[in-house]
Amino acid sequence: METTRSQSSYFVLRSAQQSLLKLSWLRFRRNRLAIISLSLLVLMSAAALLAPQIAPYDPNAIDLTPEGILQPPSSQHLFGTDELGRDAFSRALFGARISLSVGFIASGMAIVVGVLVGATAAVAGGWVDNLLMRLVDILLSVPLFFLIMISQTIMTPSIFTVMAIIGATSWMDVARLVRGDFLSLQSADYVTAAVVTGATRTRIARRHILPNVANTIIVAATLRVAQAILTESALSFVGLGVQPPDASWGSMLQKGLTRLLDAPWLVWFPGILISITVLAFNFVGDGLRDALDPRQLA
Amino acid sequence: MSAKRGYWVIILLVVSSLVGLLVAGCRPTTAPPTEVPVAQDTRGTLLMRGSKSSFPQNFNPLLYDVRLWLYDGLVRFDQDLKPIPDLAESWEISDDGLVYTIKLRRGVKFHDGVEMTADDVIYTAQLTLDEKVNSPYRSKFIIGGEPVKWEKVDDYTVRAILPQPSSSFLAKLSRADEIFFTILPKHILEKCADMETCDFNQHPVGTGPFKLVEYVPDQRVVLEAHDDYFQGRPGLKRVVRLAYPNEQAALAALKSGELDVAALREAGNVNAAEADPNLTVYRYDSNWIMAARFNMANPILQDIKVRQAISHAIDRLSLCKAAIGPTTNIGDSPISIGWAASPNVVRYEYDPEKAKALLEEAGWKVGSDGIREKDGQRLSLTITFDPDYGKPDLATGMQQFLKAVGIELKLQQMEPATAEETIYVKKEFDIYLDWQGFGVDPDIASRWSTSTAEQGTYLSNPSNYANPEVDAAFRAAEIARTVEERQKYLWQAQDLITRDAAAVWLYLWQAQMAVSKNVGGLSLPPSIADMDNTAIFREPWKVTSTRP
Amino acid sequence: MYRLILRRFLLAIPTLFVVSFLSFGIMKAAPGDPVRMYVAGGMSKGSVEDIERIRHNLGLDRPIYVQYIAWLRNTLRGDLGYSLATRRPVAQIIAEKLPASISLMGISFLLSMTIGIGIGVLSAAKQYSLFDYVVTVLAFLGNSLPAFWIALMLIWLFSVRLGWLPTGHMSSYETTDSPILDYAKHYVLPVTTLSLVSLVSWVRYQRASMLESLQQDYVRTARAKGLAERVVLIRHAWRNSLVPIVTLIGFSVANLVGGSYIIETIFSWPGMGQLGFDALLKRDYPVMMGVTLLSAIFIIFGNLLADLTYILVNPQIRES
Repeated sequence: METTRSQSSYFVLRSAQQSLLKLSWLRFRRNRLAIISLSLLVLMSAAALLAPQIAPYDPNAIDLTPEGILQPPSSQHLFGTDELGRDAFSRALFGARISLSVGFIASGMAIVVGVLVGATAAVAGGWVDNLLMRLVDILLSVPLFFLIMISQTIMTPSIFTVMAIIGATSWMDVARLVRGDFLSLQSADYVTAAVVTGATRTRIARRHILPNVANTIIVAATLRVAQAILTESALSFVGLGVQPPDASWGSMLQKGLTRLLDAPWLVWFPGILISITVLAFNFVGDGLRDALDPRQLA
Repeated sequence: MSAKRGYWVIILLVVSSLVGLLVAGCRPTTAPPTEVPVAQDTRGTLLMRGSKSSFPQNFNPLLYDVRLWLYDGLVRFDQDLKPIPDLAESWEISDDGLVYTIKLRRGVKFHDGVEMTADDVIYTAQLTLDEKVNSPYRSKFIIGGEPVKWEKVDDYTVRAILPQPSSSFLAKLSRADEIFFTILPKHILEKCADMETCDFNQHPVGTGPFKLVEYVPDQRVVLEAHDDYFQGRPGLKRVVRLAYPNEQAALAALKSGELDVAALREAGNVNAAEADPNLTVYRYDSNWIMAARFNMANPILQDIKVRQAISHAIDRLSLCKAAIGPTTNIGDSPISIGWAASPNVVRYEYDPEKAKALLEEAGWKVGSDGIREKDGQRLSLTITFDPDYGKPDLATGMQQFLKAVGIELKLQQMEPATAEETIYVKKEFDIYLDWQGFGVDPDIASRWSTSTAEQGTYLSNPSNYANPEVDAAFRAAEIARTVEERQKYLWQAQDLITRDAAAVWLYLWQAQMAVSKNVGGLSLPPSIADMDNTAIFREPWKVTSTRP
Repeated sequence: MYRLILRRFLLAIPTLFVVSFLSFGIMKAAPGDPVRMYVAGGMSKGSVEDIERIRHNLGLDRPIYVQYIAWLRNTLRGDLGYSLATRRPVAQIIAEKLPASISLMGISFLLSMTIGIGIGVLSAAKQYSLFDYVVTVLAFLGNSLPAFWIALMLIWLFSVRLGWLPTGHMSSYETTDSPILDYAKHYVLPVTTLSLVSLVSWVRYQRASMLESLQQDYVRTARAKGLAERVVLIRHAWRNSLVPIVTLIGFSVANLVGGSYIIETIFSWPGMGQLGFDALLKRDYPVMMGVTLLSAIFIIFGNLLADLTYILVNPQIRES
């Protein structure tokens, strides 16, 4: 019985990757929460891309007149205005570009590096494994704020620095998770079977293990995107995030908190945007996890 | 679901109680809170916010800024920033301005009951001048390259002999924003082998109206009345400083009655405090002024017309009111309030048309992208600052105002220690944004003179501003014998600096103190603040509270 | 197996050494100067003469490698030195902050782990049920808001509006409550914030790995043998789903000592996060090194713990 199952997934993986994707999509589509979230993210990304076309105002244009500053939401200013009279809706649109790109790029970096390091360590084993894992230990042993300071002082502070910082400080746990999964899969039967057929270690890793680790990577990736958006907002909260006059949702939220009492709308909108985006990423990730799981095909 | 949550709350409470017990067991204490003393002490307790920067970790005023009421100087300042006697009873200055003969008050007691005498003053002066003691105040008592000489005349008289006249010397005998000379007990400190690790640092003894009884690092400092205080028995039984790093939390504590006094600066919080019937907000302006200073070594900024244009292009009042708060005031010179503020400074009103005209005159023509150009060079500058309160908004506003007249301003925000080094040591900036001004004594020469001992420090002039007339005026002010003479030269310096359009003057630091109704005996405005937010407590021994 | 553990243990020593060496070097290479920050402390004081004199007195004008060797020698003797900003012993400063951070992080860790694993198991067992949806949505919601936002909202609701709980600090200055109740009240909001934030990763990983192990043959075998569903879930599926969870535990143990700067700042909590961040801004190297070293020790200890548990739950490695 055991052999049958392993061989069937082995077979499916080898010969029917095309139909696997199709099947996965069919299953993903059944998950309504995930579909709604995905559409939301697509919409959000489109709005971010088209921000210069959609935004009703220049996001940095100030209006210091009493009628300009701290205006509550209205038809003219959908999200109200901030303490310098800037249109919060336009800033949120441009902020979406920064928040989303920080999320994607930083987590992309973390995943690529993490998977490479984790897989290499697991496949190579021996001293390579040891060396890489010690490197992970050492990097994880240096406090995060310390790394942030170094990056902030050595590199020119910018949004790219923020992406690099988040990416550079979040790949280590991905590496560990991937390595753990690789190790446990290496002892799985279908891998043993592949070894028996004389496949090389790299080939086994690429064709047999990696697809099965995919769900771990996807769970980690979606979490990372969501987490990177939150980390950016936390960095902005301590003043190490995006540089003025640019805004991200996090920096808008941080600025808004000082006006919580007399202009609460400055906190509502960035807060809502962050949470629905992060939620959406989580749901999409979850939907993908369920949909892509090859073992559910049996 | 709800039953489940209830269950977890119980577990949480149990677990945290256990940890609480554990922590309570190893709670660091300096001394147990003293029991209510004999007889009936009807005086109250004051709970005040100790903001992070003012929360001491070390109570030795030679090593650390102890902004508490434990110590006194020889001199203190009244609300018009005039020096008045404190531990000194009176002083006499010789005609050549070199010898200060200071009579001390008799019967002043340290917290341990020992009387303060001339020996303590001399000893404090010696410690301050000791090269082995890491006091950052030593150079205050080095005048013209030579140390001040101190002599004991009798038990209640000391003499300070200056190498050259110094009109700011009296202020250096006080406790103020940037100076610290408070009288320390010789009988305790002379037993210290190493000032760095001395037990006194954690168990301070001074002459002030309050003494330290309990100290829990970063949480609270508890002070108790020093009943033998020389100005009389303090009106409060106890003063507790509680750390609230977060201003919203401090406001919440004020509103719920967990706190009596807190300095607030975020406009939303100040408004909320004003709306609360149990709270009153008092405002004090200061002579600390935020300014954007130009780097005179920059070829673009060497042209006075460009500097004037920038000054005229910015609506400073609207910008500061929006970025800092609606009650904020702006200044026009390095000295804005009090006897040293010149009435004749050149003021740069908001006038974008004039700014454009000045730029045209200087040869800067509008280019294709709206930014002016001259000889193929764009009119583009960078402003450097740290993310301290309000600075990012001020820089952002300036950027927009300058864009409107065709100047590109790029923003460069840096982490504080990096910004400090970039600006004051490396001098790598076109324009920088930081505090200018002073706390109590208008000794601002080091920020404007060509060459001073403070070169490369926060007090220096990193902007390469060099005007021989200004140098001469400050030198004359420093050796002036009378206040009138000092005033004349200080006014002259300010007039010259503003005529040079050497900086864009922005807002004055305003202390906004939210106080609950149970507090009395405060020094109310008008009164000039220092950055310490203590204008309200100019006479701390008079403060009362109805909190038991 | 014991040799493996011993080997990992011995490896910790060079790791610590490398961490301390790297931290020291990077710290000294970064711009900023503790003496300048100290002399300019508060507002502005001193001249260059003061800066140079104090720097010399403190031995900060020596070459970096000399300073590092001096630091290393003192540290090996158990002396972490004095804070440059406050002139208090580093060991004492850390000892004051450590209980606050460990208790706060520890309680939150235990709470979010137990609740998270419980929810994860249940929602995997009832995949696609209403419970699965509701609980995952709630857990995700907690994780989708920035921690500082949750913290401030909790303060506004429970401290300002309702007045039930204190706004911050570890204990009250004056209170009629018993000390235990007083401490408990102060822990509720920060613990809730931290638990909400980390809950979702436990739920996710547990749910994912539980779903995976439910697909495994031994679970089917167990079911085929007619074992009770409870037994199948707990003894067979859950136990085997713990392997990836174990690595998470290692990380969380590592976090215990570092504290959370943001949460500590908002709740005026006297912990390691604030200590480290302040030391960083002031370039207070001795304190920074102390904090770095301590968190490095905890992280290495956490990893060791993760490895050990990994070995214990994974029979294949245990046997080899």
